[in-house]
Amino acid sequence: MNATIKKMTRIMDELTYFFFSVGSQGIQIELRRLEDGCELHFSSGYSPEERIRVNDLERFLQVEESQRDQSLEEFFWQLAGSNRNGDGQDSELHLIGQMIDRASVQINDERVDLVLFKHRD
Amino acid sequence: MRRFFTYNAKHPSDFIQSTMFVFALLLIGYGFLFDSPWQIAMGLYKIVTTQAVLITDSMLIGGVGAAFVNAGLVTLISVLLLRLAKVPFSGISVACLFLMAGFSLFGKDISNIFPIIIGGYLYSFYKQEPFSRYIYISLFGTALAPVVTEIASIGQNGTPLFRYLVGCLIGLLIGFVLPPLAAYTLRVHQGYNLYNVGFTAGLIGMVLASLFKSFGHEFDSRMVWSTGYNLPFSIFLFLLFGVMIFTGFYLNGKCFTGFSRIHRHTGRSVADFILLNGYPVVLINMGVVGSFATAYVLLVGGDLNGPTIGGILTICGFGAFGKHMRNIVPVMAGVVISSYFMVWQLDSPSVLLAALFSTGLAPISGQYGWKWGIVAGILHASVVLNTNILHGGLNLYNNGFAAGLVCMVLLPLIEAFRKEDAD
Repeated sequence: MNATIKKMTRIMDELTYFFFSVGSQGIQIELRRLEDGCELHFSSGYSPEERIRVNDLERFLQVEESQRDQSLEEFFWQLAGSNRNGDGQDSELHLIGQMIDRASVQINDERVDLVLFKHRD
Repeated sequence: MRRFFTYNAKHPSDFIQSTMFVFALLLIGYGFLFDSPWQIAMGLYKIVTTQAVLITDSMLIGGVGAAFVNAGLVTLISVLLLRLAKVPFSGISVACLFLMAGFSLFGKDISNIFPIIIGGYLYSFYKQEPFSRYIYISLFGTALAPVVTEIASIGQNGTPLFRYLVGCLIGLLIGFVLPPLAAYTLRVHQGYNLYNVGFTAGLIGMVLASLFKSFGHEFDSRMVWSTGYNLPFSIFLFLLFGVMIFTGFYLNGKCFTGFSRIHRHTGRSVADFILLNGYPVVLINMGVVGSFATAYVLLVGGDLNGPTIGGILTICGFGAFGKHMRNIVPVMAGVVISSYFMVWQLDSPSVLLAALFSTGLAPISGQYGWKWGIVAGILHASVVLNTNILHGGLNLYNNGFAAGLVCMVLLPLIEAFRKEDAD
């Protein structure tokens, strides 16, 4: 379970960088430990002019099972949340998409609500 | 069957797989233009049984035909392994397969790659996880494939078969320890060295070479370098890259829309351009960076041969996974600039390879700007010319090793001296 929690904290870091880079003024994070894994509830606002980048979240996080590449997670997961410049690059968002098992992405005009689930390793 | 030849933007994996399959067949077919099947079979035997430490041009060992057939077969084996592991084909697959093809022109062969790959498989078995999780580390890890043939050549104890089996055993061991080591070294350079496994393999190679030396083994410097093929190889390469650009252009709706967007990425791992921007645009990018690299070798008066084509194919492959013109040019420029005030010539073999493979540091210029890219290139040119001696040429990705060392020194300095955004 420790490995799963480590990965979830990386994901939280990356999302935090991303949302502050798209103009968020505050973020709510809740990480739940479940029997079969971890569930992350993440909510944040964003600047309307960054809507295009925010819309990309759906594409990057909601990855079909057949398109998931476990080797990418194994090889690169430690890079998630490690961008010292904190500019929330889309390449890292794509990495998060490869690391999680389920994602719910709700994008409204001013707010984004994410629920990300990862099975325990 | 049709899905393999029809591009589907949402599910590009099958189409990518087909193009990689065609690429492998193309290499094999090109090999048969040079030599007869008998000459190729004899050449393959020579390649497999000859020591493969840096720099050993397979074209001079087994002939041009056998070298290309070897490259095609290694690529084909790699495609089949990825398919068997049920890995979706993406940017990293393309980068990995082009790298496998390129290095099969100078060091990897249809025999010496297997012990390391099997070692990776045994590690996945030990961890009770699917091999698909470790397949790229194992394939990239074949950088240490020369260890197998090098050990087979050491000493007089036992029959050649016995020594070969010992070499295979060491290869298995390397493949087994690579996954945890590669994961660890990634943290050191934070994804700014695109040849991460090269850095890991360099460290392992350094330890192995030290052990060999402790038993009295001497590593001779090796320079097997073919010349005189610039015309046929430049035609082949420019045609290959031209077909890539045309195919990308055609699949992209007969336009270059989206190509410029690739240049916005820093290239830092994990920059899978296929998933971020789509395969058609990536094909254009691969063709452009591949053509540029070929033109560079010709312009500086270098030789197109196994090692340099290996470098060009690697740049082309990483055009799907981190490299584009905006981030590779400053780093290569750094190597060129260094030649004006340092003691080497741009057309000498090691410097040619340094220039081509310095592009593993492309993410530094992508992230921190062209000036730091040039600094990275200058440092890389110096470091790489002194690292081969550390691992005795056992690590084919000597440039990946050097790039990792450059990152270790340069990244903290960049972070310390650049102007931070105000908090």
